[in-house]
Amino acid sequence: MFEIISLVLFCVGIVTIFIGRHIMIQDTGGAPSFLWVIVLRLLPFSELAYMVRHFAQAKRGAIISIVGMWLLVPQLSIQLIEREEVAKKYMERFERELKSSPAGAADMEAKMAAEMPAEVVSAWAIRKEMLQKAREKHVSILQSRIAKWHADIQAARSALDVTNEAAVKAFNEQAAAYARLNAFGKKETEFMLLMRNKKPGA
Amino acid sequence: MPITSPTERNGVQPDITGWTVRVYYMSRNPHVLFWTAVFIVMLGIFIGRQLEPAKDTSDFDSEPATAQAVDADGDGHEEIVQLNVELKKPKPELERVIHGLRWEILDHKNRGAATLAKLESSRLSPNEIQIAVAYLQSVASPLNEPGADLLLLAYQPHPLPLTNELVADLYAESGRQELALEHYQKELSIRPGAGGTVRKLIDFYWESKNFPKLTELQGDPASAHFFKPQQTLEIAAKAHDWKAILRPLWNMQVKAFADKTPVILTSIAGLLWLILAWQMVQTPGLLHFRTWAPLVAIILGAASTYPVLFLDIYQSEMWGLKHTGFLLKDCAFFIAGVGVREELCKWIAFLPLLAVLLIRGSRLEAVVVAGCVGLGFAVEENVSYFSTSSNPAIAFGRFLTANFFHFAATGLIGVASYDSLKNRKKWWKFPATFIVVALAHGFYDSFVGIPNYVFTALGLSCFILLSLAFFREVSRERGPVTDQLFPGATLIIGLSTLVSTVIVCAARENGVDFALGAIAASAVFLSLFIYMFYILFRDGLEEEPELVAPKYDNF
Repeated sequence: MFEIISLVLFCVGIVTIFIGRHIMIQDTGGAPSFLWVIVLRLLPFSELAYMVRHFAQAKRGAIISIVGMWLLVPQLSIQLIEREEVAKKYMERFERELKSSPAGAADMEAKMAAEMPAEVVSAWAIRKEMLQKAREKHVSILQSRIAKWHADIQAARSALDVTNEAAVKAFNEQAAAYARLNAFGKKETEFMLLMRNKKPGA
Repeated sequence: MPITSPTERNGVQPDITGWTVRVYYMSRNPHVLFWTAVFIVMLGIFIGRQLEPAKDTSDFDSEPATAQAVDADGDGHEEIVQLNVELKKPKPELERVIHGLRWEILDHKNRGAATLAKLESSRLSPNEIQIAVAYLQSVASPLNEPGADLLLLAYQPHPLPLTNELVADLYAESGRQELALEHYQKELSIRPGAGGTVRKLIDFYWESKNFPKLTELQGDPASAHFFKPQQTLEIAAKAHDWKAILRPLWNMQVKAFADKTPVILTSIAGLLWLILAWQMVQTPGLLHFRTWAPLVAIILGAASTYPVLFLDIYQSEMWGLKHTGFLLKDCAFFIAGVGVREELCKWIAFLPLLAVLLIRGSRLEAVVVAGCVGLGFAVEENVSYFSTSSNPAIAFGRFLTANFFHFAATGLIGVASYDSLKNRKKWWKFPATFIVVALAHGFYDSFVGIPNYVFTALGLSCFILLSLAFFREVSRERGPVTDQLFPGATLIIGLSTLVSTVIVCAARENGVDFALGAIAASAVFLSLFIYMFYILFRDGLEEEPELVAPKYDNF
């Protein structure tokens, strides 16, 4: 019902705007100067400037025209709110899927890629490939550092004087720190593999 | 028959001559005004060209300095760190080197090898060089995550200071928040109370809107003083501790005046409208009430922004009135929130002067002095707005629109309250005007930003009708005294001076081309306002414009 009323108001509003503008021009002498004709045709909001310039004579038409514009508001608001709702739902879905899981995020990226122009997808894919290579290099260097640290610890273990309490404590601290980095290195490797196995196009 | 010169009226020589009359008529000549405005703007462009920053064409070795802005003490004031200068110091500071380093790599990725050589030959300690080199390797990678060497340093049993903080920074930037948090906490366990780390941890929780953690940190005296006023304010608002809001709110207001550029620009814009206000009120002399009352009104108006900001926070928290980008919620926010609270606070600030104005009994003084309360509000609001805006050229539109909008809105409400108190039979005039103006204010703010022609035009029509109503009130009360200078000329010369100053200020930071581009981007919109104001100041202040309109007024 509201939609029908707003549609009727919209139509009445359009007619009212035209009537208002006609009255506005008639009340100011009926024929605007050549400059005004050009400006009114080409520049947005110039009818508002015309209204200011000739308000004393044109106020009747101007007010009618503004009333006409207000009559358009319900219908335009409905359209605007519908667009906002669509965008809101899309963003909510996007955020939900992005936060759900790495796989969900990958899936979402694939859906986004489907809606993007080919050149954007191509640039995106090139960048992803570059990042993936950088990540693989990063993990490889990290693993080599971890391996070297492991070798150093093994060497330290064989040379460790177990009767020296301070040396044992220092060694244990080293080993614990190594274990933490090693665990982190494994997670980084898993993360790298996860990124590598993402769907093509994502 | 139109007047063509001060010496001719209906073919008869008038008895008014002298330089003041000639100046007035010259100031009404649109050709004189146009070329004066062009000269002032060109002068601004010329000065801007002299002051604009030099283009970066140098190589690393010959480059005098590489700069990075650093908020070293967390007070929001950014200090410039120059990498080369810092590295040449007898005792370079690692944190400052890191900041400069970051900028160096972001700006010139290909300079990694040269930067590395500079670091290795610097006076940093071996450990510091190790950290700086590991950091350089991390930021030089496209991953922008901590590299293997930096991680190795951070995972040592006794890590070097700053390593975990740097790892955390990089993880925070790349979106791996859990790892960032872990390393910030690790850095704090190594260096308890380290200012930079505490501040970053606060910012980290702030970004993720983790208010329980922020409240916990604020309760700790060691970290409480690292909170920025904005953070303290929002945490207090979330806890509904309204008393605790007052001090940070004041600090934020004061801090907005720390930067000179916004203060200079808003002062020039405010001065322009103040001169126009003096012309409107036809002030007869320097010591007259009409000269100093607008100044007092401006101070009162500026003070009224404080309760407005308080109400803004209160309404946002308690009533959910926030700017969301959605039509209906924004309409509620601007109409029930912004429009009502701003007009109400400005009117309350006007009340001390209203008592004096009622005794003096001049409606013209009432409308202009009340308008100046609105002007003071707009000037203060512009300074605060500027402190969060990126470039002066972008905020130019506000000087044109916000200053006059508040001027007209408060002027109308002020004179309506004057009328209601002066004549009891017109008691309805104040509430009716207040509602209409608050609605116009709300609809203007709601509609003018919507990318739809009808909404924008309706928003602008609110502005225009409000302006016309204001000029009608002024013109009805102005006496027959002739202006010494045409008010439209004051407007045009003032605006061109403002544009010139904007260009100079913007050119100092981003160059003249950027400044001109930013102004040109909103040229159509601003031209409409300039044209409207010119017409209003030309015709709107005269009761019978057709009697005195010179030949140029056909445009």
